[in-house]
Amino acid sequence: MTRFRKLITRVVIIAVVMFLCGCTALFNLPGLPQLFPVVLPTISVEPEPVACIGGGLPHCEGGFPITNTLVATLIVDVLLIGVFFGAARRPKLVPSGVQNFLESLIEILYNQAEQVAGRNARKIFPVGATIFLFVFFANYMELLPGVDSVGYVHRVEEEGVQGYELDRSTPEGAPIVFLNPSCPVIAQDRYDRLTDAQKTAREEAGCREPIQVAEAAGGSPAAEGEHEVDRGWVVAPTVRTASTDINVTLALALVAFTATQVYGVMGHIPHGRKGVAAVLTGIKRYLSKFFNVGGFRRPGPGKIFGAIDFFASLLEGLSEFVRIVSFTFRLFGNIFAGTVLIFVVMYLVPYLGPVATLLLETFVGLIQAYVFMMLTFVFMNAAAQVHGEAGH
Amino acid sequence: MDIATATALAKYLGAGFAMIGAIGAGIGIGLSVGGAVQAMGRNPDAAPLIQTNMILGVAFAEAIGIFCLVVSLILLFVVQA
Repeated sequence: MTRFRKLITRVVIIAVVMFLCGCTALFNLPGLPQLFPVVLPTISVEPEPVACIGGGLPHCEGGFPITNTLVATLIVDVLLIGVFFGAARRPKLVPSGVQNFLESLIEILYNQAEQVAGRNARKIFPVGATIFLFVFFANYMELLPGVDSVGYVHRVEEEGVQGYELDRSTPEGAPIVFLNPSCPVIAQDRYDRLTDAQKTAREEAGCREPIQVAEAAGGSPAAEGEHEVDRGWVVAPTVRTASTDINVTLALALVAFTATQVYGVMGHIPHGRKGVAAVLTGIKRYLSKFFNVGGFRRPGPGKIFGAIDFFASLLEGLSEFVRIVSFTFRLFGNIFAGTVLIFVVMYLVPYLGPVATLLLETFVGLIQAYVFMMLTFVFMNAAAQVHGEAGH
Repeated sequence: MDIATATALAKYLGAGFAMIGAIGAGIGIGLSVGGAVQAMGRNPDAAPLIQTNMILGVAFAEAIGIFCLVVSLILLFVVQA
């Protein structure tokens, strides 16, 4: 029986590998028509507006754009607030179900904070944990079907974006339309480079003739204005992963930065004192980390080391601002690259190929949320260390 | 080769060259994880602490690679040539 099972496993593995390789060959080989064509989504760094207050779509000039990443952010917010309030509304002493899950999650996060900050964990925990939960849910939205692929269809206006024809089977004026993946709109010079098999495939699918882009000397854009070129249609998704918008990650980085500074000042307030004077003392002491002029008071040649200390402290101040940049681009870069990877693999190997990518992205999304939280904890804890006490 | 082709060529070449910086990130991550695994092998009790610090170090090293990736992506998808 076990031998039989082993055999079955082997056959299945070989079949899967063959299927994967077959798919790759079918979809990758230049010159062959695609068997199961898939639309390559438009890759744009800036988020697309889905609604516009006081302006027109698709570019929303002069208006206030409601971007698709804003929609995703709101969805994550509603989801988080709903789930947590729902679970905490009637808390049970012996937790079960959702409450159990959330409690264990919070406990894991709290242990991380405790590992970094010891008994001060209570103070830094809320900022980092909130960032973790938000980033975690926001990252995992990229794994959902429909995100990045369902949206509002508009015409391609600029060059360099791959447009597609609309599906012919949908009636005129229908509310829901599909792009026709067999018919990417291409220019004449690219059409000429296709093989005969690909040309026949295009003809069978009933695609339009390739577009004639004015190819005057040097590709001057002046000739294009004379006749409108139909570059096809693209989708501007309604929901797009929030972390692929640099504004979202920058906002999170600024939150972490501000929280770090505030907590740093709080840590430098003398013990047991309250009021404006104490806060001012705290600010003064905290700033002395970044403008360390104390070394100049040393006698004689010690002043040289004082100067070195001063420049080192200036660098420390600079690194506070560099952290904003690195926070921003770490999250943005990872998740944006992940979505692009998912798009491209889905385009090249529509079946089974994306599974590996989605698995990788599950990992990356978790790690990025964790790293963001841990770095926030570490930076906040370091900011509150009083100079000289930390033992360095 | 006209100007448009040359700029397009430069764009793609630049995007490719930008990713050379990822070598450094790869080496850094490899070194830090290798060191962490050795340390965990010698002192399994300290594994959680080492793991946390390792992930932080990996994140810093990875950030450099991600900067390269962002430069490359900006060249590919933002710069109009």
